[in-house]
Amino acid sequence: MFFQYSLLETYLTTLPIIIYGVMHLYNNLNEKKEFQYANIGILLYLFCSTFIFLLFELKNVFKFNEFDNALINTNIILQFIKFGFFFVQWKVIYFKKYELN
Amino acid sequence: MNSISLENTELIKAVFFILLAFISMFLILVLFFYFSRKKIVQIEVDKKKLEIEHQKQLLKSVIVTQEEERQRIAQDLHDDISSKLNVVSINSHLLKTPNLTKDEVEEITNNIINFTQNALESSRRIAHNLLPPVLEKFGLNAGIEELVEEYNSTKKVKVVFENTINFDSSNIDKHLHVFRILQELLNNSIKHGNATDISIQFIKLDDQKVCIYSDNGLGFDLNNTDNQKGLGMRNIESRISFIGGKYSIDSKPNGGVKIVFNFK
Repeated sequence: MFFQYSLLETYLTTLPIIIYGVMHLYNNLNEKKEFQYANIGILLYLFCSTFIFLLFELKNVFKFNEFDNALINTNIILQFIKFGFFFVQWKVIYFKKYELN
Repeated sequence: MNSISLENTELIKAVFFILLAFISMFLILVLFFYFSRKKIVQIEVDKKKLEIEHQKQLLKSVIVTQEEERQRIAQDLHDDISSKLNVVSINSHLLKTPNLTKDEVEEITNNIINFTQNALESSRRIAHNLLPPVLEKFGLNAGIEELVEEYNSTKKVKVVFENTINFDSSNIDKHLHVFRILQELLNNSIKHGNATDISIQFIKLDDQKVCIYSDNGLGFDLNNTDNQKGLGMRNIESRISFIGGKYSIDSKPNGGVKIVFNFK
């Protein structure tokens, strides 16, 4: 059980984060945009990666092994996009601090 | 057989979770867009309401000022002119009394002449206060120069006026607003601020005429809302919005006042 690829686990771990992220986006609509870029990055990544993880199981069932690398690479690229957003967020926070000082 | 059924259950499981994920994410997105739209509209409505409230207050201040001005004119007419004309009328009646000596007639006619002259002077002054003829005939520059001279002649305050703009005489309506704003500002500086040094400066900045007014008076606390809601300040604000300009106030207690506004 512990060593099985669990779809439920993928679903349960990402969905609360997505809901929380969307709620954060909603609350910040007309106010100070706090952690906006990081939030968008996380949402973008989680939206896509959830499907990638779920499709991975489908691929196993049909034994489409040629898609193995494609799926993993897509996930990696999405990760880097997410890190790009994080970097922008860091820059925003860093320069704001710099201005304050 | 077993492996096929195992694969089937796994397939169903995978499809089920993918569908679940699709539906839930779709639901989240739809809810998000629906509520965010609602929130944005609500915020816009609130903004418009605030704007309308502000306009109403401006209108109210205009009406109140009009009433005050009427009261002031009525008072001026009553105290200055009516009383003098009354005296003239009584003196004229005195002339009718029989058996007056020549000296008495002389005195009464002198009185009448004096009082009519006073009344004339008063009526001229009242009319002048209402709309300075210089402003109408010679334009804003001369109007302000005369105003500044009037204040300088009191010796209590020193007003410096600098102008680098050539005012177009076709814009007399706008210029009257500018004149009234400066009148109000000067009045405020002396009445409330006890200022002794006032500077008025007109400069041209990329197609915009800018007026910089500063004094060395008591100033006021900008954060205190009572100071911003005064009738005079609101009047100035509405006049500036009439001439299509924007303004900014910079002041602190015991630090004088600096007001900058622009117009076209």
